[in-house]
Amino acid sequence: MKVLLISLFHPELVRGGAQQICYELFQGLKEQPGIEPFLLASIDESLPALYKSGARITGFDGRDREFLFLSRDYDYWWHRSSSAQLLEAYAEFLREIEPDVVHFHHFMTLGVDLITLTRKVLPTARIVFTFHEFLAICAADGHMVRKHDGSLCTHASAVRCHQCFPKLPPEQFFIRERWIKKHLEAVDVFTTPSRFMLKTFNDWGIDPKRIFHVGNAQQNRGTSAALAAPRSSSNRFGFFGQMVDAKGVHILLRAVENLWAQGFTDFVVEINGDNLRYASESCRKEIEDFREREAAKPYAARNVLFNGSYEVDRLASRMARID
Amino acid sequence: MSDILANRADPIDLQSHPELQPPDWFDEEAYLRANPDVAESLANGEFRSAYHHFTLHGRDEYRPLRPRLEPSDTGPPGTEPQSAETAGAEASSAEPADLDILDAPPQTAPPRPEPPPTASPPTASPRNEPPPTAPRPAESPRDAEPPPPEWFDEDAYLIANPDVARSLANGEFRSPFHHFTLHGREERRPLRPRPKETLVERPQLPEPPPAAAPTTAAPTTAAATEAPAPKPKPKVPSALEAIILSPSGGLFLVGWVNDLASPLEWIEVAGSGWVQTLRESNMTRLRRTDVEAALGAGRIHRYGFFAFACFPEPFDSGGNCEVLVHLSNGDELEFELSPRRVSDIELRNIVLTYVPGAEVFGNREVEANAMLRGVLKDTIVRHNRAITHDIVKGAYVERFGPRPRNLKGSMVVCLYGKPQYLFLQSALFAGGPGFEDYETIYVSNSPEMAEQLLKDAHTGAIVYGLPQTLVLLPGNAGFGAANNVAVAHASSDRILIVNPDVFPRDADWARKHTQIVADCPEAQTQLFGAPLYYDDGSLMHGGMYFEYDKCVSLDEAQIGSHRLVRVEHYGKGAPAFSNRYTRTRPVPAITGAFMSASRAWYEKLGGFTEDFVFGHYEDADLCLKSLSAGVAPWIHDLRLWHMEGKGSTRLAVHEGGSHVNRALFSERWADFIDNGLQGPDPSHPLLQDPRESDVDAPARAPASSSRGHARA
Repeated sequence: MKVLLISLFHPELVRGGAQQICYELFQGLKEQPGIEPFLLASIDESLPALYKSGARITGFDGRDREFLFLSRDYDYWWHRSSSAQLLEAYAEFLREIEPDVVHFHHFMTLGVDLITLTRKVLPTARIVFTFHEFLAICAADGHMVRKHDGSLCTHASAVRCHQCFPKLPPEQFFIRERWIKKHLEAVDVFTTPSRFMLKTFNDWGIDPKRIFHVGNAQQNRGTSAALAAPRSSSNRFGFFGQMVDAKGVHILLRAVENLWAQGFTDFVVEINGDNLRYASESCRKEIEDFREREAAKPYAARNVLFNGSYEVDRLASRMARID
Repeated sequence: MSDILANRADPIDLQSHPELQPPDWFDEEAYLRANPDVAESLANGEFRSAYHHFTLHGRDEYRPLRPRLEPSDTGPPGTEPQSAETAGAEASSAEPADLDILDAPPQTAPPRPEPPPTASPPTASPRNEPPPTAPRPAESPRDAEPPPPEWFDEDAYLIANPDVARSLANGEFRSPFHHFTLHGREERRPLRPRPKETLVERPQLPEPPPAAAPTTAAPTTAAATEAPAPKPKPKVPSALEAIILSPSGGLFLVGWVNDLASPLEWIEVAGSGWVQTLRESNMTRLRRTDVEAALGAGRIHRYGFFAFACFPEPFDSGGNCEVLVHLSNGDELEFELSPRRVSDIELRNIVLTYVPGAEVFGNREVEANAMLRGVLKDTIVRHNRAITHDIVKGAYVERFGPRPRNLKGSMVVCLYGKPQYLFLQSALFAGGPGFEDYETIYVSNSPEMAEQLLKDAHTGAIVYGLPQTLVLLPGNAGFGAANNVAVAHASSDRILIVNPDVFPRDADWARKHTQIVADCPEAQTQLFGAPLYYDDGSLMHGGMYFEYDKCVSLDEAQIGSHRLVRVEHYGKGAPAFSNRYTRTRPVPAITGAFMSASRAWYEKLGGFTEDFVFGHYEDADLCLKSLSAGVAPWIHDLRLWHMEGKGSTRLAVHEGGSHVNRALFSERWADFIDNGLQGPDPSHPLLQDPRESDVDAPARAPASSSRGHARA
């Protein structure tokens, strides 16, 4: 059985949870007898060197059965590409691979209408979609956090979404919902990694018979790094994740400044992660300014250490240093 | 010499001052008879001689050298007039008669100058009209043409009197001097263009309003900054703020005048080789609060004016314009402006933006409608039709997707300003049961969207596989003309006019539509619409009906009464469960947001009327055309969403278009609506449902209504 996994970004190029899960699934399927997995990962114009002239889908770094989808002319509101050549290349790719299962792990940078095109090209293939966040429901980066007051959003509606985007009329969100749901009609099975997400999508209108909870499976890397012995004081804090607004690194740094203001300096915070370029401008500036001020101090005087990105197999050793 | 002459002193010895000796052509007695005040001043010792006065003032003041002649005394050109007053005076072709001249010429007979170049045909201009006393026919034996005297500069005379140049080209006169002797002398026509400098001892004119009376409309402000300083101060407070010309013969001017005492009658605009006259019917008067404040005016009076005219032929040849504003008491206010030159489309847009923004005394919409009555509206409509005609000639057509046969319908969608609706509709209509038998035709009134639409149509063909035609227009031809162009490219016998912001609510609406056309009587399907719903779930449209708004406009002499037609929707905002307005039945009109028509019937009605500007009222107009031809529109129960007002971009210029359209629609159909079509329960026989004998049918109830425009 051929399985085509479609991913937002490749974890080798852009760190992130959804692409990591998708890639580990790809690697796991390789080990399964009778399964021939393929990976199609999108990239965007932030990696111009990987765009080959005239090409729309290419291989990746000589890796077997791993391909890159060179996104272009992408509309980030309606989540579609207006490049006919890209769509034609995708259709041809499907006809070439002839997968029995096409498993989408995202539609951003790919286009939600790719799902409909997949059904048109492969009328008998099974289409699976895994929701890693709420982008199908929520235009506010898929976080379901209300932009005007930061509260958690319990459900979407045309008027409620308009409240997060006052410049856009409710009708815009009415149409958005129908646009996305129209394409999701082509999906046979949905999965979510949490039961909370399952309920949210049920409430949104996904048929309960077609959506399942499937926890994110990852390779068991064990704990090769020995845990440090318990210490008398627990003052070593760690952050692991993408340095974007929703993850709250800037909140953590403000907490550090609060402690300094109170004269407290006996602690360490280790920031592990990347993708600062995907943070908002204000958030990015706040983090970069803090990092610059901290870097100006002698190393021994620093309380916050920026350790950069990490490979998944290094996670255990980094976490071992944290209380 | 001037210092000598300027000093009042005892009579001077002319022998000692030969330069003060009057020339032979100067008849001091005739000069004094023609200027009695000079005689009086001379008697008072204010001047040393008549010629003294002439050199100091008379020359610059265009004082006559002789008393005015009677027309019957005008002899052959070049001969001295035979009035009693001038009896005995020497007659010489070299001698100037009683006319305004700047310099006395020497007494030599000049060779006959070359005739001027042929000028453009004369336009209707008061200056071309004969003087009150009838002139002699040009072919009279008495009109043998003499050579003009040396002092007569034919070129200067023609420059100063461009209408004479046109008359000359038409053969009405043999030469400029011929005109001068027949008419120019009596009409006190200038021999040369007037000098720019202010003359000595000109009468003091009232000061114009301070701070260059601010204008309220954008085009006048822009044009006012381009205009040079006005010519000699008019006697009446006034200003000409802008002249705007377009290549096809469009002319728009804006200004104001305090004509309380003597109303404005006509305006003459002259350029290089042309003169256009704007009569009262071309002009629209409007309020100017800035002028009222400057003048301290306390009564209602429309000081402002603007005029919009479209002449049948192009006339502009560049350069500045001279404008003469003529008041009823004969006063003429002169202005010189550098006109702003714009395209025909921009001129139309300027006018359409100006009208709704104009200051008024009463209700803005009512007064705008009053302004648009008659000539102004007709001129705008005519100008717009010419623009539309040019645009539709440049249509570009491209087809995408398969070309299926046996189509059940052609869905025509007019796009303006928002390209995303092409791919949104493609996605949401595709795959619906029955829609595989339909084609879509998108016509775009926004050329800037062309590339995006081509891309989206191409990607749509790949993803959805729908047969789609794209018609790209090089400009905004308006809703009516654009749809008519699109229909011409349809491949089926059934036309569906659909707004871009309409989407299926019933997933199987297309199958239902096909069934209705196949099963219902022809009278019920020639033209029909459908219930449309807002995104909030309530009803947006269950058919349309007509009401009247009775309005009053304020004129200085009276209060004018007007009647405007208003289009209302049945059930606007009604709950979704209400079937009162969604049941199948005939209705006075249906919205253009969704119309299904037999193509033959659509074409028989002439399609949408293309007189309307941009959009609005074409749908109601089509329905009334259908009713007047004996077929009522119907409503059938197919349910769709309509994001009313979100499908296109609306600019300020569209507001002006809406005013024009409402005025036009009311003018054309108000009387027809009187015959049983007014109100939510019209009595017109075609609107009586032949099936309404069902006892369970709900009684008709008053429909919800709202004031103002009500168009889908």
